[in-house]
Amino acid sequence: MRCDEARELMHEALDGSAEAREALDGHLADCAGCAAEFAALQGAQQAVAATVDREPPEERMERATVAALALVGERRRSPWAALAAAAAVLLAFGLGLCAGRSAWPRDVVRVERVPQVVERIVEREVPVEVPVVRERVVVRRVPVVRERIVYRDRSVAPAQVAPAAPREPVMPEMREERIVARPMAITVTQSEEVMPAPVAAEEPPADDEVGAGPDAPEGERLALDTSASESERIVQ
Amino acid sequence: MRVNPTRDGGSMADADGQLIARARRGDGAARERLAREHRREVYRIACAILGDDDDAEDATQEALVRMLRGLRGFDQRRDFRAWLRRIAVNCAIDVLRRRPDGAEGLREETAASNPAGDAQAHGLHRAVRCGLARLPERQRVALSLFALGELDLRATAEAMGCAEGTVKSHVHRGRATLREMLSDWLED
Repeated sequence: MRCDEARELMHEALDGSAEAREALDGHLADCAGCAAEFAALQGAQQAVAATVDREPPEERMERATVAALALVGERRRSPWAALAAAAAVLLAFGLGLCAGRSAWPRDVVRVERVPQVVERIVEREVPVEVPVVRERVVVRRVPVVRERIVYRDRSVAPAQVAPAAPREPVMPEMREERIVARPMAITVTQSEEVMPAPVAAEEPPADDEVGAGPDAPEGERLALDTSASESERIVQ
Repeated sequence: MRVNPTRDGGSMADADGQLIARARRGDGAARERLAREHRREVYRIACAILGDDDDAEDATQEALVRMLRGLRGFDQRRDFRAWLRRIAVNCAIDVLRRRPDGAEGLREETAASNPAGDAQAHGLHRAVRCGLARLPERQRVALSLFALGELDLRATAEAMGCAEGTVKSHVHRGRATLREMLSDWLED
């Protein structure tokens, strides 16, 4: 028998084959290398067996068994357990009512109907740069905030409810500002937001005076025309 | 002595058959007795594969739950113990794969509770565990189950759900690899 054949038989012999062991013994008696290899393989097998072959701890097996039985038992009883829990809740509620102890506070005698805002739309127009038209009229849009509040319960007037502080400053409705510019270079800062409050405090200039004065400072020429309607157009 | 448990368990199979029939009819005592009579084998398989008592306990519990819940669908013409061993192996592999550190399962508790109490034996057991942990999963499972001493190659193959030749190949390769890993220990 050659050594490579003997190596094949070593595993068969360690698997428990008596024939392989018998055939191997003759070679092992003559070959020290194969004998050492077989002893090492046998030692590895015995070491694995000694490591994995342990008597299980009784308390761990008992714990696992009890837990498994409980898990399986819970699964079977679960519909009844749910019914029992529901019945217990109903019973406790009924007993509470009979004893005059409501689950709700006693001082609440009336629940006011408060309209609930279900929709809140806020639109904002950003300043749009409009090119200077032929009539030398500069149209500039003022930022406008539109706010629409829809109440769920329409039977309750919104006035009954204390108005909440608006999140955004409510600006006047859509308004166009018309600024008449002179032919000479007039620079309009389109990104500038024009607030209505300062303008309303001042005396609004007459229509024919807006931008008419050649010596007027540029700030005056850019004053707001708060009285003009949307369809009106001021042309110099 | 290594035996094939499927061949010499005639009386036990009969007793199991009666218990299974009762358990399927809803007999809680029969279910409990089935679990108690087979938990040792389940635990040994789990511990051999996992090498850790905590994990083996978890795998045993899961295997018993699966066994008890699967009784209704169990074909009583099959071998109950082979079926349960298959469940135990699958549960142990599930636990093995859930481990965050992969296959390493050696903990102090396992080494300390080993009957061989001297330091060299502890070192060898630790080296064996580390070596097993480094083997491919199928080789590790096959070698561990076969080393239990209770299952022959055919029963090991049934428990792993593969052919006997495949298990033999896994055992031989795993044994040869482990022999190389343990050369420092085995040649002393």
